[in-house]
Amino acid sequence: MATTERPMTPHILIYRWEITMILSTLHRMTGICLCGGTILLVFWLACAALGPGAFEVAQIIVGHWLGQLALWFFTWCLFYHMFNGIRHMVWDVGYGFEIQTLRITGWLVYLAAGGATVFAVLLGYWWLGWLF
Amino acid sequence: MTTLRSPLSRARNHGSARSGAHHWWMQKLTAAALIPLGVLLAALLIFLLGSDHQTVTVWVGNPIVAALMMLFVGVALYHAVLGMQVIYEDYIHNKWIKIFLDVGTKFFGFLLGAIALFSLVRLAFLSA
Repeated sequence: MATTERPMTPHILIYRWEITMILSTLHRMTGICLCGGTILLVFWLACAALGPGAFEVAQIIVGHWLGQLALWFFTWCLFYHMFNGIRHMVWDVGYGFEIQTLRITGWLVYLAAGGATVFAVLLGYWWLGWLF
Repeated sequence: MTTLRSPLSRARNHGSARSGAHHWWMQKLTAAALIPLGVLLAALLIFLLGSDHQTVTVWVGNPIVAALMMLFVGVALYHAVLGMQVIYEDYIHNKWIKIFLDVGTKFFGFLLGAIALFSLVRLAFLSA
């Protein structure tokens, strides 16, 4: 019968954690977080369109240390999701499925996302004049 | 081999007969578009850090910037809605909750798109 219970995978509670599993999970989690980032962006745009008073409120929220922390986090989410998305596109055209390659490209994604985030944050604070 | 089962009953429950390939392709197309658009957005937002309302209005209201921003928000929302749908399909096993979340996400995505679109048009007129 076509309706019989088939085994389901992945059994994340049983498998030994591998870098590829963490990368894959992070891709979805950063995707969900970026939905939040998009909501914040639209909120900021709406405040700007409403006028100087509303914009002031948005700038206070974004300028608060919690707001800044959120911006850093969304920046990392964006770069991680983007670089791992490129990794996904390489798979889509049929390359990079060997275990060793998967591990190497995984570490490259971590490095690129971390590096781009640090660069963006430093660039932002330098532009604001908060650094040297 | 002869069988008494109808072709439909053999095909049933073996997978989707909906629009998976189109969904997948749009996910990839929007992803590709979001690479340059996302980098441009990040650069613009860094450039606008700490700016007052006047400066933000002039820059975001610039025709080219406003058009690219509309494109970013539209494509990003499309991508986000498709991505959330896949997550619901994978993890939410109750059919009604799944449909509720999926439809809710789509409505909310269109609402955000409308707000962003209107805001950008208003900023463009304010800066003109």
